[in-house]
Amino acid sequence: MTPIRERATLDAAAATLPRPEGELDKLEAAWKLPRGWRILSAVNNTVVGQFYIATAFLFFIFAGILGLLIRLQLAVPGNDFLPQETYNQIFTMHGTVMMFLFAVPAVEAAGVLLLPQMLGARDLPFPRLGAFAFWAYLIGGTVFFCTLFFGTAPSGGWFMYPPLTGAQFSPGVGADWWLLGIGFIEISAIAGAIEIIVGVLRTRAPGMTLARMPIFAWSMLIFAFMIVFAFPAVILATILLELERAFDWPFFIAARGGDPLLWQHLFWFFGHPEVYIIFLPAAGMVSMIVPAMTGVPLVGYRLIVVALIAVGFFSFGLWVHHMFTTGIPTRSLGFFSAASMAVAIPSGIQVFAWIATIATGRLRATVPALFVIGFLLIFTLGGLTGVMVALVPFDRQAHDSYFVIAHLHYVLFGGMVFPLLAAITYWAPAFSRRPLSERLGRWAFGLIFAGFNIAFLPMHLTGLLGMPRRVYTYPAERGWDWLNMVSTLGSFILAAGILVFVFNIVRHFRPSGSKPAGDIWGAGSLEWLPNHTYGLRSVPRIDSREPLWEQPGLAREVDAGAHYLPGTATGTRETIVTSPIEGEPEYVMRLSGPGWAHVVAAAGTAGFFLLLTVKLVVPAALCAVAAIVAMVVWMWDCDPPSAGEVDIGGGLRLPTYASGPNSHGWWAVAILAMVAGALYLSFIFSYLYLWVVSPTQWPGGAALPPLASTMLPVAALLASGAALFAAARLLRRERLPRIGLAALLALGALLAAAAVGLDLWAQWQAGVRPQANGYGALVYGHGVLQVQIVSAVVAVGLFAAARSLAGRLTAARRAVFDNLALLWAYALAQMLFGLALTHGFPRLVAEGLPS
Amino acid sequence: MRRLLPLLLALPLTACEGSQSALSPHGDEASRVALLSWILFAGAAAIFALVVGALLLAWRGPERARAALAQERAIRLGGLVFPVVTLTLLLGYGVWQMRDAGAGEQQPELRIDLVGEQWWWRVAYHAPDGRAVADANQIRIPVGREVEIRLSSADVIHSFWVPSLGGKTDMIPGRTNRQRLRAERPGIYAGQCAEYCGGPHALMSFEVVAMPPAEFDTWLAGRAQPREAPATEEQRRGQEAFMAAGCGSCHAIDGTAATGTIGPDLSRFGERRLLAAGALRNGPAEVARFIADTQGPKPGNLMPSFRNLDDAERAAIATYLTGLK
Amino acid sequence: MTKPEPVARLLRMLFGPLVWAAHFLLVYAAESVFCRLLDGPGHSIFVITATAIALAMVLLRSSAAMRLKPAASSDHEGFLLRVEMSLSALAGLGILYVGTVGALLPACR
Repeated sequence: MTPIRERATLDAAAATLPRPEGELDKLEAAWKLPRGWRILSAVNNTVVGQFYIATAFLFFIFAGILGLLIRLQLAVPGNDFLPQETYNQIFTMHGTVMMFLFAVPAVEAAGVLLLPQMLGARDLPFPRLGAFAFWAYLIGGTVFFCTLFFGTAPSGGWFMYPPLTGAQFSPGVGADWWLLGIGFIEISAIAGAIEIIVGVLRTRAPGMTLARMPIFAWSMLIFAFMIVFAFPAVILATILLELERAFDWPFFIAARGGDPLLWQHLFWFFGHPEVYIIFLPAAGMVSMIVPAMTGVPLVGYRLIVVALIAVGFFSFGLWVHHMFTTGIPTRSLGFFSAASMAVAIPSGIQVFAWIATIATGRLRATVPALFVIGFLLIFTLGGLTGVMVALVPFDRQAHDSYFVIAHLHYVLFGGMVFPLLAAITYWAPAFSRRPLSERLGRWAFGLIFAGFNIAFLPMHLTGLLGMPRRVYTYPAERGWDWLNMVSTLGSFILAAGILVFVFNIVRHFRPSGSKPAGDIWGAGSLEWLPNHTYGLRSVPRIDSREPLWEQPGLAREVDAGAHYLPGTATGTRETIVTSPIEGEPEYVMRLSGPGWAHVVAAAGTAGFFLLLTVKLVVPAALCAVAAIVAMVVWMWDCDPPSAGEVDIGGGLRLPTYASGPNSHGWWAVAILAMVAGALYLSFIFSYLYLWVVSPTQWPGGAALPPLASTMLPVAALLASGAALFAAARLLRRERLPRIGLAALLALGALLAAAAVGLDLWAQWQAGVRPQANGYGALVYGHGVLQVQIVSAVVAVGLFAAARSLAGRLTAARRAVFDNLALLWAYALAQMLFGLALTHGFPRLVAEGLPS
Repeated sequence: MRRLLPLLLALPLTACEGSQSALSPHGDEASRVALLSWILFAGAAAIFALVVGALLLAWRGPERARAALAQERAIRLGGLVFPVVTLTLLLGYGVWQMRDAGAGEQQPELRIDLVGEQWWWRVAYHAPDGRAVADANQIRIPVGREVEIRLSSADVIHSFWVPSLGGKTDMIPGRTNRQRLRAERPGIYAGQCAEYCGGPHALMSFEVVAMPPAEFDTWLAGRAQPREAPATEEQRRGQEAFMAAGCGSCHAIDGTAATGTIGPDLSRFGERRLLAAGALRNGPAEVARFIADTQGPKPGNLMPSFRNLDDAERAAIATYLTGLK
Repeated sequence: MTKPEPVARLLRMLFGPLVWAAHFLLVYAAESVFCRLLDGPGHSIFVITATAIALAMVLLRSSAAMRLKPAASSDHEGFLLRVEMSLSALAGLGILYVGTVGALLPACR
């Protein structure tokens, strides 16, 4: 592969050559992987990323087998291959596992694996958090899947609509497995998203401005922000439904002032963006593969960025299009129908940008290119049927029929699995000693493409002929039998293709940290530079979108250590933190190495949620304690003191410590606050929604706690804020009163907790009970959210107090305090707003509006 | 095209009795949507051909075509202007259809209440004299008249769907939704629950019987009349056994001591073609077997099996029930 | 060149879509308020007014961006401005779709 444009001059190399002896050894020592079984304690993104993607792929295969069982059952009418309850569990698990245990983790895994390499970072900014997310997902996901073997899997559908999934109609533990298991895995997805956002915005190679960032990084950035805003809605929904199931708080029970449709709003506010959450990274992969396979830069780079951002926004305005048949007023349906049309436009832009790129260069018909072509064809069809179901009149027929099954598989399998298979084949040589076999790859592609279409194309017709979804049997006389038989045959051809693909991996993929096959495609992005356990030997300054094409000899220079940070400046793992827009180096960040604390924390967290599901309270509590202890151990060393300024080559001297708004940790907490904010906004929506549905439930002024009862909580919150302020002042002193600071932090945090307790006590005194009606449930549901955020403040506050006592919190080493302060300030704001909402709103509507 | 295409495609699939296909429409809404569907399919096929064509040209086409496609202008035209134009047209068409559907200002000529229960359908007509007439799992409507079905649920979410007559509407606890139907010609149209409602959701079907208006009026009037005593000895023994077994605590039969409202009304049980909401065909032998074993043909349904009854009693009950017309 | 506050800069780039989101939420939420609580016919007027305001905001902002573009101090600043304008255009289209459909369909039924 020859670069298309030769550049006359190169940037002067940053570091002088040859590099001093021993520099490389020290770098290697800092990044050394644990050996043998201890590899499980590794946190390197390449190791965790490969575990992660392998696990996700395993769940894909398991859920795929469930899909085959479904197809076997439906092959002939009146089949009794699977009992009804088993079938219901299987289709529920097929959807749930594919969505939550395969699709989202798989793309997140791809991000963990590829982003640092692509951005020129040594690792992601929070390696242990990434590993924690992976282990939590692995343990939680495995246990969740295994419930199927004990017949206790959920059977309420992956969408879990109450009242069917409420305590009355689903008394077993199946629904609890779903709510606690999936709710918990979503938290792990959010942890991953935070890491990806900070990684993409802050750890790019010097000179990699937003305008030069690889499209995959753009797509992962938008993906992660979508998770931040979409997942809290479903987390809230799972919290509310679990509270209803466990304690009889009637959020979704219509007869008691709840509403089953509230669940649907919350679920689809997550569920529709979810489709694009899965699709965007896949589109990002395609935008990387197409230029590599055609040998020319992406045409319409900027338009693709625009398309990705626009999809990210528009996809949040579609959720009701899963509810077109619920009897919502016509005009509301129109709003969502219009937004559903608008979201199709950016996809058109992307398709034609890829076509333009193919027209510019010469597409080589490699296996990744074949999968990309397959993706283009299938996804286009899925998009077209998507436009159809976005039309309300058509959707009233197609909804919940096999037409929708066909549509969603065209979009998800075509839009995500095909790109993923392309990506696995394409990036395998970056991590494996040898590439995957082209011959096996072609066979796999042929079988998968043919099998997929044979299986799912007929379903469009099956659906319009009247076959509803989620039926375990159907009568012979409807004319659906031959269509179903064809679909079943197709699904087995598809499965054969997947089998060949897996065989290809098993046969040819040999992970290698230091000697991967490397750039066999002649691609232009940074992940194709020589990679080691420590990532790049040295980090080049980037001044184009395809540095490998524009800067010949870059690979040699980078590996010789001719660019920035050619060794380890502080003797530990580190990476360069750059500014979010221009990618200018700001400081050197030290990264944590391998350890067991985050593994124990993940196991403890998973154990807590899973044991709670089966009501083993004492073991669950023990797991929680283990998790908390492990987290403290893990976090204790995470804020090392400054090592002064260091030279990273090229005359650049960078600090090794940052705190406050410019630091990576503060950014992570800021995003965490956004997650909490999105969760709280979802709650406000629920609160107002249930009021609109049954305003008569809302008590008049007399049944509310007296306004005076808010005095104490408000005072406690203000005092808490004052304590925070005083602590900030104290921290500026040269001679720090450690005990005083610790006492202030602990006291202030506990005051905030007291405020929540006092307010709930006042509600209880006024006679408000969570079981009484939807209003009461909301009041205490609100309390649960406040307890949640204040617990975080108390935990981090006590942690900071302990660090103060240990002398690890000082004027110079204050990142923990700054991060705490941000969380604290957010929590105080949410709690003050909460008091205004729960005491003010009922009064407002009781007096202000006739209802 | 409107008539030809569906015929061609659905030739082996249409059945006059018990059709459940959105592509063989026999009702107002279904006809409108079927037409829309064919327009959508044709449009989608054309756009798909365009994309495939562009892709092939870009990959293997002549240099001039490739050069034209290689520009950002091609992205703007193909990926932006074209979709905006088609989507705007489509949205306009959709909105026009929705206005039509929402424009049902005129009073419906008939109202029927339908309650979704796990896993059957409770039907209530309103006779001209104002009395409610109960039935289950079968809805009779007059051809050509605008019928409003008022949909609600007794337990979980169900969804009412008769593909040959119109789209689906959910039945949600705490709400009453409305669905208009107008059958274009007499016939039996199959319907099925379209929202997963647990257990035997697959076996929650019903039939809509569209009758000539005059016949319908006679039927409804007759339905409100007091019924006669059993005609044959076997039927009389069946009625006795039915009452003795306590069936009347769940089921109701007009003019008898059976007034239960937990299960389906059986007053005109013999008129139904299907048993157990579509799990079985209706007939004396099937009914007798079903009473003995309700869980085999419809696992999870809420009626217990009556194994304590002997064969003769069950046969008599079956004869009695299937004779109720 | 002085470094602009990065977060503010990125939010400015997202101005169009943010207005789209606010407009969408507003007209959707207002239907409940107008139909359930006020029993008034005001929703159509509300939708039209909100749509006009939202469109005006997006237009004003992008014309400002267009004036800035030739003077963009760097590659990436020019890039961000062009992304901003394209996003505004798409968002404007989205607002127009939602607003028009809202005005054409019957309210509260």
